[in-house]
Amino acid sequence: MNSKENLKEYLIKEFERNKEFFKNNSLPEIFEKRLEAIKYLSDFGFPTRKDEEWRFTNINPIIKNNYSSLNINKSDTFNTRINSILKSEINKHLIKNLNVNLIVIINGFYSEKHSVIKEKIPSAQISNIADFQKGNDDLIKQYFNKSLGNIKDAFTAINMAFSTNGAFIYIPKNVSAKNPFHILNLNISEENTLINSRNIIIADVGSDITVLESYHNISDSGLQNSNFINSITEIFLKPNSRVHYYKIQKDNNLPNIVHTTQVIQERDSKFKSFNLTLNGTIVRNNLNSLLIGENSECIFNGIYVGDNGSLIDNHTLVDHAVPNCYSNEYYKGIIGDESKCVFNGKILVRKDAQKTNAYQSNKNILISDKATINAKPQLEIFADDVKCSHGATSGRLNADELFYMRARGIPEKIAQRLLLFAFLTDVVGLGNNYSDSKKYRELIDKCIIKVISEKINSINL
Amino acid sequence: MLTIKNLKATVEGKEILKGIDLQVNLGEVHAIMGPNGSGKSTLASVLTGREGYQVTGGEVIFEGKNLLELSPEERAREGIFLAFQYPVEIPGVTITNFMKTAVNEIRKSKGLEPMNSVDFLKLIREKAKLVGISKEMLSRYVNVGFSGGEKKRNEIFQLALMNPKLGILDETDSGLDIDALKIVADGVNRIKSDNNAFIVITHYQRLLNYIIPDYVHVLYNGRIEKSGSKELALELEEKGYDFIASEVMP
Repeated sequence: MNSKENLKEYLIKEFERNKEFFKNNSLPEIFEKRLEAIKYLSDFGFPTRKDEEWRFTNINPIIKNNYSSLNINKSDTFNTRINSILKSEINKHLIKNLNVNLIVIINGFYSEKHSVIKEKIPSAQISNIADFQKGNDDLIKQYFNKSLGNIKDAFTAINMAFSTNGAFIYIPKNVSAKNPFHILNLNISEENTLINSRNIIIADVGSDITVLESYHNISDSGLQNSNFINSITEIFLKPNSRVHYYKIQKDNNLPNIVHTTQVIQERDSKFKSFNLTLNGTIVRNNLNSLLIGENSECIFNGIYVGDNGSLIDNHTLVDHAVPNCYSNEYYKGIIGDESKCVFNGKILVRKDAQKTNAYQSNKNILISDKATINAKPQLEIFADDVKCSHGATSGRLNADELFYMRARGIPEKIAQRLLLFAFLTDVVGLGNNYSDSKKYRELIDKCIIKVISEKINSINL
Repeated sequence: MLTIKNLKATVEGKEILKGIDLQVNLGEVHAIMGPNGSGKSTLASVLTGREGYQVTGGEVIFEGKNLLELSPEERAREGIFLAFQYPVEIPGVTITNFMKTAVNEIRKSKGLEPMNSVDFLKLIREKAKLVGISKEMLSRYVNVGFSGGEKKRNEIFQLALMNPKLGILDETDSGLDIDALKIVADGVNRIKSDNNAFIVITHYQRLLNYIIPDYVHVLYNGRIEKSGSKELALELEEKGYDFIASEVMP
């Protein structure tokens, strides 16, 4: 990308340059979608602050960046670089004592060398989505980009056009995976790379899995991190399936991220997610679930802590398209320094979705005069027999609680940290009762509590 | 131990304390009585360093130190403890964790090692017994979902644990039935010794049947208008605060 070129032009040019590669390495149906995506980008370009969905989030640092690579085709040098990464470099990011089926994505590329699928599940398919795109595979044809429907924004368009790699997880009927799947995204910052990865998770009828997505930097990355991660995870819940989904962004100096998790839930399915964002320069988390089958349940929990000028934007949508479903969303945030957080949560109850129970709550504590929260809870109801509530609060630490603690000899800052930690902890985790087979969720939650506690202890007061 | 001289304080620009003088020595129990709005709770707040109270005159010397220069946590470390009139609920923080942090922070300020978990557990169980706080309550969040009586018992439990030189009980009797009152008073009486002192702030004489004061002071319109022995409390109970008013205003 030369300095005069804008990102849109660069992307269109790069697509043209690599058109043959995409054509030869994609199923015809997917290649068609790539073309549509590029057309969208060419017609509409990037959103601006005038766009309602991007009102509070300035993406200029992302689109004005001078990218030098799109990581479309893995070069030999990059392959050598990936292969030189030691297992210990990966292992230090794993949760202690937790057995996982590990999928490692390095700068958007699925790393065969580092991924370890311990569990043998008959008829399951776990691999790189690139493997399916060449062959005539029904699953990928059926599901690739299915949850996103028509392209509605530039970032999903770019991902559609350029993504080649990512985790593909298909869990067959009535299988309950013993271990969680950990999709570990490792970032190497060697040149300014725009990384597009696409994960697809399909939980077939009656199956049960836990997926953990995390983002990390390789330790030898410099402080300046000018990559951009634009990734999408599509999750399909077939009838009566269960998916527990964790997304964790906790490391320092992570590149800018726009990550979209798009979920489709069929009848009697349960989707529970926990989203943790403790660091990042610009982080945009889109989490959307479309409930198309009755008696489904959707839980969105999340915690964000903004400091050091970070911008953390959580955009969620629960789309109730059918009757008798339940959704509950609970996000909490602490915002300090000059950082800015956005919570935009929308519940949509369509005309036919009678007997919907949908709840949403967002609570924020500001710990600096220069910190900002833009909270926008939205409820759109077109049915007439529903129970819904939503609300957002923002404020400071409770002065009475602080004084009570100080009157017992606890120094002010320690009292503040205790209260901040206490404020967040009731959202942590996805299982209140850890049954024996899902004991591992307790390990994940303990790890989450630990990193939150470390973050709270390091934040400026 | 505590000397208050001509203490004046305002809240939101309004003068509430208009010149308080009080001397408290080790081993003594002082009752401060007075009608609503006389400044009783303001006095407690000023002594413990609550924000929102401006001291406009006078001084408070505690164990030779100028108390008014110290932060609330420093006052606690010096040995001042306030049993709150309205104990604060702290969701997410258990009593055990709260008290462990408090005890160890005070130890740290004195250059002592933190208490190990086993010793601490032994200590809190022993003190909890004093006011009938169950093991189950110790693992609950501070005051969350507690009844009025449980909250006040929790205050006295904390008092026992912190073992202060000066305990200030701010209307600890309010909202308590007679059984709870006895438990609370009994707890205080067991903690009371020649090495500490208490200021008992109360609206009614009732509590003073159980915690016997050495001195009774009547706070009226921001001043201590009358001091006497425990019999003064009985006289107040009989005649009401109006009789002070009639003495003050000729």
